[in-house]
Amino acid sequence: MFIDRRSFVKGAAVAGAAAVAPQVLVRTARGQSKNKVVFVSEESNPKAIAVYDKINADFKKETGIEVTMEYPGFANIAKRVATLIAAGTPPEIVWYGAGQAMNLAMENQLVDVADVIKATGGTSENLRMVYKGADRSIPTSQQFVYGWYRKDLFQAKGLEAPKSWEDYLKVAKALNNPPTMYGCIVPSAETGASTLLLETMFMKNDVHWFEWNAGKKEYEVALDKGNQRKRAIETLDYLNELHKYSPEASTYNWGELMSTYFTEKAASSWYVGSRLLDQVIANNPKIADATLPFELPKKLTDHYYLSIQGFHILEKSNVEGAKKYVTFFMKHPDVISWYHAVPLHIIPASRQMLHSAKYQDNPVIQKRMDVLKFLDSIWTKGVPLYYWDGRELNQHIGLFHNENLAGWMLAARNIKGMKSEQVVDEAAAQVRKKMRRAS
Amino acid sequence: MSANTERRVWVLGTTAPALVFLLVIAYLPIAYAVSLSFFKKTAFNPAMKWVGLDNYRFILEEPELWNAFWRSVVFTVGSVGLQLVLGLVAALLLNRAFRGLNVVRSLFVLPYLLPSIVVALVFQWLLSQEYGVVNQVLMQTGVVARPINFFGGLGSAMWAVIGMAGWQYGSFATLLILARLQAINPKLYEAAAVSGAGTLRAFWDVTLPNLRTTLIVIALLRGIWMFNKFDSIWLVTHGGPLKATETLPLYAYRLAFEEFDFGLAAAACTVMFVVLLVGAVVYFKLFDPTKEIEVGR
Amino acid sequence: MSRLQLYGPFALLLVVLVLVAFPFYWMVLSSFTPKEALFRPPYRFFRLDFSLGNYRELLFATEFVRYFANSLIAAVGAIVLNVVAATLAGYGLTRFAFPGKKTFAFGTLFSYMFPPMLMAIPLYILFSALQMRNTYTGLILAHMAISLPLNIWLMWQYFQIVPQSLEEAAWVSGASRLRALRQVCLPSARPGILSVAIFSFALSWNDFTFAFLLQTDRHMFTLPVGLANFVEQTGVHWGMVMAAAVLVSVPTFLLVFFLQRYLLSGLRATG
Repeated sequence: MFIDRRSFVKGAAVAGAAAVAPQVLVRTARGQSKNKVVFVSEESNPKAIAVYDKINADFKKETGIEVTMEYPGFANIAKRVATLIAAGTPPEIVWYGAGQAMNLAMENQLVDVADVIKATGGTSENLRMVYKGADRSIPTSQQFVYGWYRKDLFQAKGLEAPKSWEDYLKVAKALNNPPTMYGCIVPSAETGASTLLLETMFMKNDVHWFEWNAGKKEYEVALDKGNQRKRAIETLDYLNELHKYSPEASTYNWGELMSTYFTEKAASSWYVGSRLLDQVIANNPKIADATLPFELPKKLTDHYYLSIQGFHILEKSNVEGAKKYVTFFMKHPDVISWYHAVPLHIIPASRQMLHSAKYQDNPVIQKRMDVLKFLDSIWTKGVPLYYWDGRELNQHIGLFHNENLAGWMLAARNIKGMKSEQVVDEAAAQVRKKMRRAS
Repeated sequence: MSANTERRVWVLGTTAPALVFLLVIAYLPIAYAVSLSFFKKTAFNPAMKWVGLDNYRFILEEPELWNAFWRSVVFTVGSVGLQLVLGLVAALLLNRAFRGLNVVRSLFVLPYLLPSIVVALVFQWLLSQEYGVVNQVLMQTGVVARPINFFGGLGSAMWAVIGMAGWQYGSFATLLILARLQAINPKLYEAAAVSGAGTLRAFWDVTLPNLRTTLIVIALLRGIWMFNKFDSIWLVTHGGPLKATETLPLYAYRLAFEEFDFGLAAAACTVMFVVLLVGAVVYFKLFDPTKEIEVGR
Repeated sequence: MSRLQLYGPFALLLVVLVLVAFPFYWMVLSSFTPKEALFRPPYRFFRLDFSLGNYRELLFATEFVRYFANSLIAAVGAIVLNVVAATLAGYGLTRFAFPGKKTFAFGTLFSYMFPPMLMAIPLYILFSALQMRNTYTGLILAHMAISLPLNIWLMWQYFQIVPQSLEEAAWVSGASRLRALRQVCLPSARPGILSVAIFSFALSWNDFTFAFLLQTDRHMFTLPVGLANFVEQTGVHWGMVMAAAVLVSVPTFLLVFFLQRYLLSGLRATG
């Protein structure tokens, strides 16, 4: 065509050089700077940002280390961290869910942080993320999955917050009046919101993705076997029934769970915390007082998906500076303002802090002590997904959970209309496939 | 300075800036990206491991790749077709002088200049199942009994996305076709009228042949652009529902940033690139858009 | 002429106009609609209770103004560099014969074909090494990667129709090549240059992929990234989002309205 042999050889040489060059650049890119710390945070609420700015300024004054913040947003934070590591420029600190951080731990990218945990007062057993014998996460806060409902609308029909699965169906049906008002919201998309709903309902029905094989000392996929399979199918079928009283929600993620509720299109919703209440107060305050939390109804257990956030420090970064910073942060007097950035949503890791006067000294919390008492009442029932199947940390969870496989199951059942049996079997097959590829 | 040296200086001086830019900003990254496809590189690990053609073997066996490829074809053909039709209709209609023509022409080109995120948000707002005005009108006029879930419906998502792309980029076609139309020698139409041709005949015999090259160039440029389109579709559906709108670019994005396998993603992108290359070569052979273009005098 | 032939085209034009213009109309109307009204569909098509609340919230409670400025700086930079590089290259390609010309021309088209998304990762690595992430320079250069190929083609086509005779006349009257380029060629090529400017603006203003991957410091976000970001954290505020959409459209509309004369004649050359 228009390429002769000589220019092809030349071209190939150039291409080869081009392929190698970035590798060389990557190696030179990361000059270990002892005076810099890059901190990637999932929380970008303006009040939280103000706290970061203050604490960072104080830290710089005391140690001379400059802290640079990045706020990619919770949908993109894993991607951002991935890109940073791939480019050879890992951030020092990432603050986000321990469940997501497990992906990093599995690739040996997280350092042992037991010393920092000790220096900042220790932590409770169920909040630890232990991989290869070492703590990889410094837990700061948690979020629970629970429901929210409009007490005024419920009372108008003589109804109360549901306490059983049948109840929930009944209540949703009674309040359902499409398209002006829906009884509940069942997100059915390959999104985080759908995933957490199904995982929580699986827990309520004692469904396990894995079971521990004591002989082989490892976890094996159990979702499509025996009783697990039966209960998984039962849960999917139930959520399919419930979906009849919900908007189709095939594109719904966290934002829609809140906006559909505060625009008064749903009589009940749910969330992984109290950000929903925060948004109701901001956007439609007149229904705020009638917005009350309720426990998602129990079936065989009353457990729910527990989301734990914390600091994670990455290998090959300025580890020393990072550890100094995290310790400084946790001991700083303004850290309480950070918890108050989205009151009642960022729940302290320590129950003591929840009960402390210092924490409760906040106008929103004072006004809604009922929510605080509610959180206290369900405190012990949350379980992180990677400890749900046994006492050993189940690292396989990281293979499929963050890709929203559970969300896919709900979407396949509710939007595509696939049979529950097929959905469950297909999901289990996917997990096995990913386990094979990872090994 | 000798004439020859001066000439060399000119050649270098004019082409060097562009060449250097392209080399550093385009060719180098492309070469690196293609080379990445021969390694196993997961995002959470800076190390890379040579695996030769393994990534390609794995990906070409993945049904998801072929599904995504098919969806890319559907999206490209659908949206380019829509843009050509809309562009042609609009250009023909605009090809007459009337008051306010300038305002109208500016209006037509505006969609093309909007950032994809804005178009995505506006269309999400218009076509929302719960809050969209389009559904409101459809229900009030009795066309449908229940609101349509445009971007969230398994059957409707692809069409909604094609429609949105048609709206956003149809103006590109309108402008180019209009420019060409206005350059057609009016004498040709007079000649056609004299030999008894009606409007439709005149269109077929005079307008279309002159537009041929323009339409071919538009189809090529828009075809490449739509095949590679990532942001518009991703921002509005994230590839959903259930991957109904997951075209190849979105599939590659998912591989890179949700399954965190950069090597595989690079392989997918290279496959896309090769497809386009082959397509472009075939296209050139068939239609030859570089044939010197005659501009109306 | 029958009634249909007389009024048909205008009626059709009206329909097309509505299809094109309605999204804009709805965008503007929604941006001026008070938040509470937006919570309650169905909506009215005309309203008199305008409110600036959405704009106020957008401009003061978010960093919209900063994102706007960043986008503008990147776009202007992209225009300047594109115009210079593409014009020079177009001139060189048409006025001189040299080896590899065809390869160069096809090469530019091929780089246009590569999915921008995967180019973003190597660019990310390259810019990190050169400390050019979160800079305007880096973003402008990245934008050029997608717009320069197209623009070179445009100017190449365009210079083909600027007759060499004009320049030759200037040389005969004693002007140097450089002077002839400046004073004779460039003015005739102005429509093409303006088209290049507009396309460069569009591609830069529009870009989400590169800005998303390269600008990670929120002070450096461009509009598309900033918009996508705030939509996520909190429930979607349609009023505020539409206000942002309106503000983003205004400069592009003005730009096009005043320059579209050149845009059309520029496009004549390509074909």
